[in-house]
Amino acid sequence: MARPALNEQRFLILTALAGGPLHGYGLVAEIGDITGGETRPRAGALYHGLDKMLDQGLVAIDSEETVDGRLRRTYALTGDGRDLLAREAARRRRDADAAQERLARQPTRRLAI
Amino acid sequence: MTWHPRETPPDRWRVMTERLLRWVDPDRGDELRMHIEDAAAADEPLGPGDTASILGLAARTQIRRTLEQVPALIAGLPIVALCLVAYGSIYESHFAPWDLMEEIPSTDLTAASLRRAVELGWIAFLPAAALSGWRTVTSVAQRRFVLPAIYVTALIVLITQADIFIEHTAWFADGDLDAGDVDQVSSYSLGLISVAFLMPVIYLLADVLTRAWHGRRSTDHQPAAPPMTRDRFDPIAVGALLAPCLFALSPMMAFVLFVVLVWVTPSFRLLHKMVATAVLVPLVATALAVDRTDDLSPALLGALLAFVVVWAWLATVAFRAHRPATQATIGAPTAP
Repeated sequence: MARPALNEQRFLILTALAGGPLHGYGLVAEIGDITGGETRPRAGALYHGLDKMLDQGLVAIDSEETVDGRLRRTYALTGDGRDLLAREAARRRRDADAAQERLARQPTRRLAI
Repeated sequence: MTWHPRETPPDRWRVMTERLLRWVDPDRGDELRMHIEDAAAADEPLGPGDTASILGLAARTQIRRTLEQVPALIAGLPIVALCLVAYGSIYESHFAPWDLMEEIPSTDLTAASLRRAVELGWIAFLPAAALSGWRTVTSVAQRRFVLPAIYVTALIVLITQADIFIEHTAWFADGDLDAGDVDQVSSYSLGLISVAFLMPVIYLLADVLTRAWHGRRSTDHQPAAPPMTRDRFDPIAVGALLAPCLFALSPMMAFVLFVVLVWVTPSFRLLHKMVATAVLVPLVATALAVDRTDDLSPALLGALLAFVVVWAWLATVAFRAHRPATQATIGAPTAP
């Protein structure tokens, strides 16, 4: 079985960035909004994912500013990131549609255990 | 258990998180502090899960840094090997069989052995120098200084040793040495000349390998920024790497250079410099006196032991200075 191109968290990061550049905590908040509060990435995992996608050229540093002596860096989606997100969204939609279709065909069959 | 950066956090959590952030890249640590402040402003303080994830990030950062150092460390091994060869050559040059075994009384052989041990003691310096020096040498800004310095020193050594080689060859031509001796003389001189030539080549190789490694990791979106470019010039490391060449010229030059380097090293505080000088200057004076008498006294041995202690202390300070500095503190008052 082929490995998915993006795991759930990185898919959500790209989705959040598709709306425009965001900084670290802005990403957390945006992903929370997208998922209805179900998913809020941890700080370490978020930045690890961003590092990986920076290396892969899927996201880029949009701007850096110093706020109260501390660094605030915003990230943006690159062209490659946008293409990959579109492909991944289409793939997930196709899989979800297939699941819905099969569920609709056999609505109430349950196995006795 | 959670803590809020804008409130008074439990000291243990604050200290632990602060320590974790020291182990990530400096920019990322700063960014995470901003992240934590943003979360606090939104009244969503971080919890243990966030701290654990930062621990994972710090661990990954350290693993990545270690792997990035592998090429330079590999390139550093020949440096150590060449320095060992240089020391061997120096020892043999100073205590050649025709000088010692035939002319020096047996009682002085003990002193000669001790002196040899002192010279070989410099070898303990080399692994640390290789570890510290490659960071200095591979820095873009410092390369401009370090490589020319190495070339100039190597040239001096080359000229000096070539002169000795010619002199010894002349002895052979005059019949003062037999055929077996000239082979040894040639090998000593050629060994030093090889070191003089090869050291810059090895340094260049280490530099090229390190830059190639970091260049391979860079992307269009994230320009290569090797961690070592943040490091400041570390003269102690450079001095350590030049020590074998200088020692071939004069042990006194090596000691004096060390005192100078201690004073120009930005990593050392005034206290470090004063204490080191207070120990090293008497050492140099003693060594100069002993050099004239060609003898080893208990005073010199004591001074040399003190030198080793001082050097180990300074090396520790220099290595600590290479650790990534924390630029801000969580929960600390921020600049206006």
